[in-house]
Amino acid sequence: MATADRLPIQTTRAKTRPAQLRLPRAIDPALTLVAQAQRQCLPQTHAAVLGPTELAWPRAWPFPRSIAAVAAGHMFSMVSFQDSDCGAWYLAAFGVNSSGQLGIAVPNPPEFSSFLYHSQHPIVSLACGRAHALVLLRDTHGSTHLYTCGHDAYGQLGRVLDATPTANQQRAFGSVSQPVGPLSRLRAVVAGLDHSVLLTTDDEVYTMGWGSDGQLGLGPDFTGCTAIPAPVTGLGRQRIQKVATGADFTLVLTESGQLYAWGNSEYGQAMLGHKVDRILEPVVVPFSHGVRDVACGGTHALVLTDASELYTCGYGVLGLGPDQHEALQPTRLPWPAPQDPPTRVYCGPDYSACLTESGALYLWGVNRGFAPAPAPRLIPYPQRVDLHPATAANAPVVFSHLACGSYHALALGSAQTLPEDQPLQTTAKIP
Amino acid sequence: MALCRTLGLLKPDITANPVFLRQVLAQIHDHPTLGIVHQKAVQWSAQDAQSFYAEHRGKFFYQRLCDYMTSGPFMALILEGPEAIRNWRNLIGPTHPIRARLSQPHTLRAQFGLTDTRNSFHGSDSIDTALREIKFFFPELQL
Repeated sequence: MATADRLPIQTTRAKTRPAQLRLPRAIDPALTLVAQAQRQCLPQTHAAVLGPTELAWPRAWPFPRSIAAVAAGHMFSMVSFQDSDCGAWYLAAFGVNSSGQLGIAVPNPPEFSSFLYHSQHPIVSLACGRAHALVLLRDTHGSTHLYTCGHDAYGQLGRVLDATPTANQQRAFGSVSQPVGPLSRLRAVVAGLDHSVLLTTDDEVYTMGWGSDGQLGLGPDFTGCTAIPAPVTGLGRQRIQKVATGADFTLVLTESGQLYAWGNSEYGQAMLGHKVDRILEPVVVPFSHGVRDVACGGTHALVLTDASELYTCGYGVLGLGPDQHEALQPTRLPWPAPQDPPTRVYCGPDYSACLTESGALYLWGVNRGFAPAPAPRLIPYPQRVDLHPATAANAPVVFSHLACGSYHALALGSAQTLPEDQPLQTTAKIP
Repeated sequence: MALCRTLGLLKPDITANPVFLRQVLAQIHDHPTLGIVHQKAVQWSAQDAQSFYAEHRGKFFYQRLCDYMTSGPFMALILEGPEAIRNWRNLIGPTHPIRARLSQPHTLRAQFGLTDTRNSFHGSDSIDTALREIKFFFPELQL
């Protein structure tokens, strides 16, 4: 359930804005629906696709764009981008919308939908959970505004409710209003399956949503749910480099390279060296190497050290070969390409990925359609995934970012031999 | 072999996902001997969940199980066929989807279960339990 930090902006040539985009429907003063596509283009990427596939944008949305953030949840995705001609910001949301996780509550929605919103402000961070999403906007004064939508039975939207939700807890986009102070200075948002984690610019962490496995890290007495973002204490007032969360656990990486963990660790995924049903408040992870990047899966974690080595811990197809599915201690993962070391790590619930110095993408774990057919169901070692877009058959894509959903992933990259101003998006999906 | 009945649940995460729900119902439909004879949508209160799972009270997973089962509507099914109890449990697979994904990938839990908590399916474990659970969800039926 990874989300994107601010990504390098890519530019494209300006085109004329299409007429379809002049029909705004107000969702909220800050987010306005401008286009809708069903059973065409974007949703196709959620049909059965074996192997990585270039993502097709709806014909109704042809304006030039530079992608800022991507997020993948449980069978739905969000992409934020800027019209590189006029500077306007947009949010594309596509996939399953049964709980309003695409931002609009629709009774009996079709299996897959696709919406395009105009955003009044730049979109700086996105996160998608099992059936909820978080969208972080930053206004011209530098204040942030957090919008959430989707399933809200556990309070994961952070909205104190004044009415009983509909049967599926459907909620359209709405703003999170409490507590006002910290929410106006957010840096990033991430989502577990049913909880949300917020990181402020002054290194505070807030959580909300489902907490019965300690997902919220709010202390030894708290195993409930909260719809009010609550501060996590015990992180040592350190500068925070990254907050990563998976299904039901969270890892925090400080600037000094220290790791903190809380939440579910029934498979030892919190890297404490043993299994713990639930860790109710942050604990220091005893890991002796300097850490550069970290990612949380469902029952495993993946760590990249300062020495560009990968370590994995927990349960699943960990990349340690076809016979080792469990590691209670962080275990070094053999890397197949010493000349091209990993630079960033990512996890889905039951698979792992990393990008390398040269922009190569490696994936392993349960094969959610990443390797082209015929491919094994389980990929026991890191395997390189190449994509050659139709527009430039001999030009492999250089990847710059990845968002891992439960059954699909979105990768951001560009074709190597094309001019730099032609970005491409790719996706993979299970059959 | 005598016909028998069992109670199956399609838990809230499956019921909320139109794609998975369609695929799950198709796989049940394709089963050679199991058939759905009654079905209804259920929305539990906290009390309903606590009453149904009373035997688990005090275990560490009790609260998350109750939270999960009250997080949205779900479907209760009465399934019928020879050896229905065993066949339904074989179709849904072991309790933990995480392990099932590696060991029994064709079971419903391996395909559709997200985590060990969100394991998406329930099946009665014995004739006595099946009778009791069918009565719990379908009190209006003459058994």
